[in-house]
Amino acid sequence: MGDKMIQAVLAILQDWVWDARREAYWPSSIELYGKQIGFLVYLCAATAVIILLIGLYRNIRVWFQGKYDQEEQSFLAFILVLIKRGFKNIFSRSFPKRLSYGIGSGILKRKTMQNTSFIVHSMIMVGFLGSAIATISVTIHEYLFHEELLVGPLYLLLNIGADISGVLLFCGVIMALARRYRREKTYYERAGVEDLVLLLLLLWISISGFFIEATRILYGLNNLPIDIYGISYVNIDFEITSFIGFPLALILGPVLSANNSIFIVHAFFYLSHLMCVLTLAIILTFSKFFHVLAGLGNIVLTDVNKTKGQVQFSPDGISKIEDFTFYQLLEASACMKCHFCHNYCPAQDSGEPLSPLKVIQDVKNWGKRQYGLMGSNKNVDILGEQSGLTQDVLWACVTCYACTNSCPHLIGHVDMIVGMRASLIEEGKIPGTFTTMLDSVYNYGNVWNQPKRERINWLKEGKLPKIKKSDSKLLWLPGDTLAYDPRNQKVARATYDIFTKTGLDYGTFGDAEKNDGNEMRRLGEEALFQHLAEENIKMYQKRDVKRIVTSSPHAFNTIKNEYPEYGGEFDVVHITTFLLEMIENGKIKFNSDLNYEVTYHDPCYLGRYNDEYESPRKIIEKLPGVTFREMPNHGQFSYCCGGGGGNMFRETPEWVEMRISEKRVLEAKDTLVNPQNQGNGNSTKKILLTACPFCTSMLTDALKTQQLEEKFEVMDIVELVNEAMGAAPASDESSTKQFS
Amino acid sequence: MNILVFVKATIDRNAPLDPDEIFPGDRDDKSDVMTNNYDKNAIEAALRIVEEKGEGKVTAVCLGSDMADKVVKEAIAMGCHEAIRIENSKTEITHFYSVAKILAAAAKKVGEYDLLLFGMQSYDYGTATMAPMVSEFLDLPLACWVEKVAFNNEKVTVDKVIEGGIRKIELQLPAVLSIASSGDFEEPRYTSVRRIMKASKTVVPVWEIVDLGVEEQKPSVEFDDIEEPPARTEKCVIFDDGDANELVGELLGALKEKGLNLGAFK
Repeated sequence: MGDKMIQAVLAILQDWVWDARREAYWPSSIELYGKQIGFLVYLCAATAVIILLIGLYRNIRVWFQGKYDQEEQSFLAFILVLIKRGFKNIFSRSFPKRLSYGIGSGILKRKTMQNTSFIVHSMIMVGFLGSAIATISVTIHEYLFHEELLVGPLYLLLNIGADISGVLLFCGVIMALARRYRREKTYYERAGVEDLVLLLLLLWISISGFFIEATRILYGLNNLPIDIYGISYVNIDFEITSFIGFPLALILGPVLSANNSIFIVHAFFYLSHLMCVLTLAIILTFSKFFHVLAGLGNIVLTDVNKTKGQVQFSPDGISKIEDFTFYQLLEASACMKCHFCHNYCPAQDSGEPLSPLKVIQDVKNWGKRQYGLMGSNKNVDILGEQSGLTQDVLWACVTCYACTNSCPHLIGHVDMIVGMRASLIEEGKIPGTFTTMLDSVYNYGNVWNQPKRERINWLKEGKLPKIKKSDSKLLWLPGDTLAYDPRNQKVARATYDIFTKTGLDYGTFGDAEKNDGNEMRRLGEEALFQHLAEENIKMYQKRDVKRIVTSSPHAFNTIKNEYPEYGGEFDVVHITTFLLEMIENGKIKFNSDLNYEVTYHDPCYLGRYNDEYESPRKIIEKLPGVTFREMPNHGQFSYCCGGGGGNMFRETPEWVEMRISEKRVLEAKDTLVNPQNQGNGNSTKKILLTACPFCTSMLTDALKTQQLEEKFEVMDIVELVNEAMGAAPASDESSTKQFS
Repeated sequence: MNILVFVKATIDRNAPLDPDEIFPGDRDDKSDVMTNNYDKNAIEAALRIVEEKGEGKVTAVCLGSDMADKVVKEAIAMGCHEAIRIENSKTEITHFYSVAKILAAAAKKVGEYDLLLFGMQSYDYGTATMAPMVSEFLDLPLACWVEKVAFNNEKVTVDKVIEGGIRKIELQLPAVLSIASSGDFEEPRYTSVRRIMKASKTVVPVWEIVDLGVEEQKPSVEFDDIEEPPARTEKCVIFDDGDANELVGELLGALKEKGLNLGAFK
């Protein structure tokens, strides 16, 4: 029975499938214009390819102006390094993930799936690649296999594949056009002509592709039986696998009956299709379309082992194109202006001149300007008005990592910005408030310009245990801000109370503690960071520290990710992780019902940099009587408080319309005080929680300037934990210090 | 353009207060010493002038003990081309007249200079007398509290801060200027730790006072005794909770209680 069925199917398919084929390069143009047209087509193609190669050379030339992996490395040795690195990366486990980033699934992790860009991009990409493969396979069929490859099922498969690709490309382009020029116009204000030209080219390539197919099929249908490569075909029903081209041929049938008119229409579409493809090839290297090559190159060559929390830049700083690394210049080329970084950048959002996108584009354009096809302007200062990379741009960065986090091509914006800052630091060109702060760190070991001996003044009664006397060698680092900032001293006190109440065996360095250096490194003050890191590591090792608990996510980040470079490997946890541990193993017990409504602001250096989103939320979950509400921007898409990367110490410039922290408290207000959100309605207090001293300080200030103090409070999670353990709510007597 | 900048080592504002150790030379800990912050404005001015001219040399001159080495090297780290320290080790000469004599003699020994720059005053004593005295000893034109400079052949036009405004003065070079901590040179450049490290390796020439041919002057001011002021016991009370009208009443009541003469307020 089964055999018979198969035989029957095979019999039907016999002439349908196995003999299906077509004439490659169906030559309407040759019929019309003679053989010379072929020569002209190849001439055009050759010109396009030459221009493509020239453009490619121009780009690659700039990359190689960057630094190689090691100094004094020869060009050839470096090429070898690149090849090795490429192979290693391709066969590494993380490669599929990285590739998927480039394809667009990186966009999947975006906060809302309303963001259709992933679908649009995938459609265009798959459509474009499919069409290209179909076209190229015809060439292979013609020249390498002497018309014997695309015969039978393979040919039909190609037909289906090509038409699916064409449909995807067409629909994708239409969606992309709608997105840019109708739906989200403001997003793409700068997209302008470049995007329009590229998309229209792709659109015409897909449309004309279908018409070429349809006219060829129509000619066959009109001239049955037809002779294809010496075989006579009585029908070409197999062409129905071109599920767009075949119906289109049937539609065109009544209009184009004469063979000659079919030739003319086919030739028009064929030549315009060809010209569009060649134009695309010509502008490939000169437009954002270059990301198809550079982006792939970047994904293959990028550093696999890079830790997020580790800034990488040369301590000499970046002041000219030659100071960037090869990889950074490659990254800059890979930027396709998708505007994700631009849209996620809180500094940009607050009205600063900084746009991560523009920084990358400025670097790329400066490279191309200094290194043309032949000549070169070596060692020209990149920082300043001439390139757009001004001080105002560079100091506005809060190093919140939202840009790199959202970049589909894994471009390291923060590394480049910090590198350029380093060279400004070297020349002393920094805002005055940073000078005070950095001088203070160098001289007194804290960012607040306060005497060392006043570091533990926040503790009015009681005594801080010394690490020397602790058996567990558990070190608590309160950090500068907890020690000196009046608002955060309450957090220090709460932490101390929790530790004391639970009878924890821990120790501190008291007034000998020093700044961790995280902000110094982000400001580009590498030497100061090194100085601090080395001294701190020496101090921790001398006291044989077993475990470190930091109150600041910034200190946590640098000790975890950057101290190992200097030989300091420590078991370090942030206070939220540590408290969760204590809650889970029963050391912390809650005994008072809080009845609060809270939301939580993810600190950048805890969340985005170190992927710690869960611990704080779990603590909140366990707090008795606390209703938790998530803000729209949370997790890895959390907004910044505006205090990172040293910007805690920068004066707000006059062009800032609304500070980053103010935007954030307004978002918290919408979440907490929104009338639709009146869940149980009887909560006594609404609180914006966070877990970072900088955030606490910045958001508290913003609460005051936005006059929202009546509506809700800003608190550190630690304070709430302390309260749930039975401590009285913190009173507001902190500010007396400022006036004394 | 050769510029001499005079810098002073003072006790760090965050160092513990000790009436017995009021001079940098008395201290053992180098971190207790800092560059007089007003002198940084003067260094900034000197560096900017040289940078704008495209030629010239900035030399920092400091009178102090070896504790002042840090200060001299910081001047080099900031960008000064050379530095000289005049040894003042045994008993620190602090009476201003003698210091001015020594500095004037040092300037004479250097010889070639177009400008002598001072900070507008010192952080510790704040007498602001050094620039006027040195200009007098060297018989040079003087402008104090200069915010802005412009050069014109052998002359310099300066904007000098006076009460309620600016006065423009033209001086013949060489001249003595004291630089205000406002205006063009308000923000001295940041000195990166890398530069400080590099500068710490330079060897600074040390001159002896005796070689300058200055005879020790009789101190014009002598300190009888220096004492720490008694700690303040008053507490700060802030009236900020409630209606403004009531708060004013409360405030007046509290002041009256303290026995203050409230004048028209009863």
